[in-house]
Amino acid sequence: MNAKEPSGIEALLKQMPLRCPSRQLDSTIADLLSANEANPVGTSSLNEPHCESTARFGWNAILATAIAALLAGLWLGCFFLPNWELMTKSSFAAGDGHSHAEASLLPAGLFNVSALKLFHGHSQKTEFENCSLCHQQAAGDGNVLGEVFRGWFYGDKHLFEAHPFGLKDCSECHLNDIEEEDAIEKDWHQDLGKLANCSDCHKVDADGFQGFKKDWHTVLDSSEG
Amino acid sequence: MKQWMESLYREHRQGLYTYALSITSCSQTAEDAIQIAFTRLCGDTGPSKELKPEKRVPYVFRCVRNCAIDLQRKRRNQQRLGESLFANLQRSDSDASPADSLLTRERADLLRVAIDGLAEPEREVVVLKVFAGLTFDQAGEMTQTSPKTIATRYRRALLKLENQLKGQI
Repeated sequence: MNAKEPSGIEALLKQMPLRCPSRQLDSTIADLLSANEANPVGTSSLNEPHCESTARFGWNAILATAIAALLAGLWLGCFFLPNWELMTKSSFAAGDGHSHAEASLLPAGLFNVSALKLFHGHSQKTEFENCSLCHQQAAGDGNVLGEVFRGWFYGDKHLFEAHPFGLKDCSECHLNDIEEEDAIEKDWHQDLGKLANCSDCHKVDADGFQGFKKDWHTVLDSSEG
Repeated sequence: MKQWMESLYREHRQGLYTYALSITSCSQTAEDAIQIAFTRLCGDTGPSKELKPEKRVPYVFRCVRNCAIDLQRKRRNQQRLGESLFANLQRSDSDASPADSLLTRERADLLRVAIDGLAEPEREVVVLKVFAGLTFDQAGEMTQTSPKTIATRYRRALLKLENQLKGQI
């Protein structure tokens, strides 16, 4: 579902074992860089990375990544709603036309908790003024909020199509963590703002780019006309 | 300057080598290219002024690329070794569980052939993005191409690989 997830072929490519440069090259470069240096750098520092295994990263890098992930998790954790906590009126921001009495009966765990955390926690916005931007109206029985996210995750709509704010400034809500590829995609799609339906051009697009259904130029010509 | 070069080399040594190897198809020539590039970078022909940090990686990759192409031209008349970028994978389909790894020796062989069959610009961008770990911006800066074009090439290459390996992987 996540557009940032690498495709199957990409994952396989990343597992391909690469040939490694010789240690002789390392020591040559180290000598080169340490020569004429006021504060010479020892050649051993460049000799450290070994290539005997096919792993790309050493233990130091793995440890550093794990620590960074832990710190990021702790930092993000302060925004998260606790799991399985009953969702109370205060969990919802005021001002929505939604039935809060129904919402108060709803355990958060009934939702996809990850999605709940992602959208209510991983955001620069601390208050959501209009729940119905993302949520459908409450179902009649009062136990569920109906379909959440307007078919975003549970439907087959493309991210941009289903996103309540459309192609506006992502940084209004999102942290500055939009990766390069997404930024480029957004840029592209902003140029195509007239297109009402992503599936006009895209094939199966719920998992990200899967190829085009139509010839780009045909679509562009018709939308401009 | 040499300090950032050292850390850049340490971080990108595998990527630089893989990229140079993809150009020269000869491990020794690839290493020579890297060595010559760093000699030039450290010498008088290095960057005349301090490079911005975001420009350093593309700059060094470009130097290595130029040196690799130069060496490749000089050795054109020699027999090309056609060495692969990839090391041998020992695991076969029979002894790898699906949970263990997606990649088996058979799959790796198929992928290797498919990658070799890509057009040069597409192969280059796959090497830069996947194996050298460059961003589209860095790859674009290095090849003096728009990052969007690089991204398109990359996607096209992945689609080609997917189509080529459909049913086999």
